Amino acid sequence: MPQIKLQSSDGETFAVDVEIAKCSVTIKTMLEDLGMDEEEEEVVPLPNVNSAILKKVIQWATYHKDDPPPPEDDENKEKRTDDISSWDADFLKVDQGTLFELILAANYLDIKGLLDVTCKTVANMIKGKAPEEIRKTFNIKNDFTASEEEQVRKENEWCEEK
Amino acid sequence: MANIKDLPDEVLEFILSLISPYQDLHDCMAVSKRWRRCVHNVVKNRRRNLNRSISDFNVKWMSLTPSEVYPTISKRYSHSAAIHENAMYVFGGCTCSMTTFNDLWKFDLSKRQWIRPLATGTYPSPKACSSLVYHKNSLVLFGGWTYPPTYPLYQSWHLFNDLHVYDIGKNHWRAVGTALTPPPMAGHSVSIIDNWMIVFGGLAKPNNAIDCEKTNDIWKLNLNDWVWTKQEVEGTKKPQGRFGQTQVILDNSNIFIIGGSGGSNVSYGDAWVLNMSNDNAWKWTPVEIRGKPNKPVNIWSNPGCKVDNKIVVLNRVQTDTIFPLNSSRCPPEYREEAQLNVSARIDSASRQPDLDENVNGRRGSLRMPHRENNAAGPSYEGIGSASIVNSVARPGPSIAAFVDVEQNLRYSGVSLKDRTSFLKRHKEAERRAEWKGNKNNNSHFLGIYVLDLEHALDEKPYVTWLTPKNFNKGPEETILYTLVQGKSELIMFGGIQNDTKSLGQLNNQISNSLHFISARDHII
Repeated sequence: MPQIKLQSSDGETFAVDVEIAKCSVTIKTMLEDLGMDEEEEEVVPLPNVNSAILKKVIQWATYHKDDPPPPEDDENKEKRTDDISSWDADFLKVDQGTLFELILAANYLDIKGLLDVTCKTVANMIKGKAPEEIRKTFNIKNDFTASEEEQVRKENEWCEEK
Repeated sequence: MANIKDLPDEVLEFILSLISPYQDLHDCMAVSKRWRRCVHNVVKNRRRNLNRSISDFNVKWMSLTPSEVYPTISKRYSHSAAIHENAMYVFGGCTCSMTTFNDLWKFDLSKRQWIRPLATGTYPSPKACSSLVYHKNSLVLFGGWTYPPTYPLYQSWHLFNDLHVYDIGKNHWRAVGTALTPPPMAGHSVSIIDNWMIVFGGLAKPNNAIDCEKTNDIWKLNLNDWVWTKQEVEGTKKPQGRFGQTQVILDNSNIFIIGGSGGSNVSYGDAWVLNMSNDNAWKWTPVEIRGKPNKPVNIWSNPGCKVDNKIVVLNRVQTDTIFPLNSSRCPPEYREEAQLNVSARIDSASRQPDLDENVNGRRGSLRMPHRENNAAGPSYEGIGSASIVNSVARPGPSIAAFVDVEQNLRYSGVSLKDRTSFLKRHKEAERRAEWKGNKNNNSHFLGIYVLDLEHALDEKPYVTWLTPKNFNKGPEETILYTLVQGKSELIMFGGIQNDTKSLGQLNNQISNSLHFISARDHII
């Protein structure tokens, strides 16, 4: 099987099957647009992804390489957050920093499946928490004044204002 | 190391779009200024997606059959429902054994769970077809109907003009006495504008009258001082007396009504705008209806719900006529939320008869145990004959006969002319049943019908039934349910299956399922 080399931001290169690398729409487009698949020895630089994260991404993509392609128009797919497979759940038992790095990488590389599952994981961390608990969980600074916060809590975000 | 701050807005918004739009999303808004801005965008997107899905007739149906583990609301129809913040409230309705409820239930939309708040104060009488609307942390309950007492015989249906207010915070019912009161009524429609509750139509029983009549009167209730006024109308143009119509607010001085019933076999499809800018004399204007081929057959026992500038009405899907291109497309998009109800699915074959545990606000203590075993059979007989009495002996229909009128309509509707299409439909249904793996082979299904209100306030007002663009199938045909708008979804609850296939099994025809209509997911 033909392989390509992916180079992380810190200069490490990984040899990956082309088919696996192509689960990233970004890489796929790059290969097609630039005709890079002709050149066997080409190295694809990924300046936004470090080696630790790239390794994880490749591990995820390798495991999911035989997944059926996602349904075209999402018709039969529910927006649920409790349908994370046990392999993915284990795979995502990482610290928050890594989780967000993975989201950034999935977003940059345009890997929908990985973006979905990582974002669902974060959504599950948010659910059922009060604002203060959410801030604590993600180390977010409260930039509301006390009176503003009071106001926001009363605000009905669904009221028509358009 | 990366932090949630490092995620671009579109990714944070994607994460927030996975959060339940009720309490959870509201909590997210108070996290920080950035989160608040992102939540607003998510809400905007959700709203836009729902509107677009409705315009495209491409909605997603999901159903939730109540779990038997948690306390759950009994099956019912002709109940009333109102939404406030993260809860839907349901009051009263008809039981499956010729009685009515006076219980109040709260469905927590965040947790998707039924709660029965045991309120203090003066409970309303058991009744159905009442109006229930939200106003200033309270629910206002007015009017309604119940079966007549069994003795003396031949009494007419009992209508109410009682006014009750449920204080949500205090969990307290209060009966409000008023000096002047509208006549007892049911099946009327109400809207709240500022501190006014505007009541139109209904089946009413004026003082001294023996029979009920369909009215086109307008009453308004000042919600500050609880004073009723009968509203005068300018000119002679007004809608005919009716009940079961859909009424929505167009703006602060205009109300729109459509449909309703004028009695047996009189189903209205006309529309009117009521202009309220002149305090002394309000004015009715008839509204032209366009797109008539796309109009639903029945807009009186199928309540409509306003979403943005459209009204959504559920009605039988005309698979063979309106959707010829799609009639070969077998599997409907309709799925149940399987994971939530695997163990709790109410299977009509194995389920015990509904015991009406909550009649009159108690749990099952009023009922003689032996009656439950044969409740379904005899009570259905009872209703059946009542309907004959109603449609033959009495000039007007009664709301009690809602169901029966509808069934009569269906019997008379099968003419010779329809035979071929009936057979065709029968085949189609069989095919569908094969796919579905169930035995009900002539079921009909509900789908959405959409009325565009954009030109309802033009000088020459018109509204348009939109041409369906997609084949869209919901639950089995049901009537006398409630349909209300939640956050980026419509919620249908209860009702009675409009189907003659299970004659004698009235019990199984009544529903306590929830159905949610929402947008297809459109990822950014």
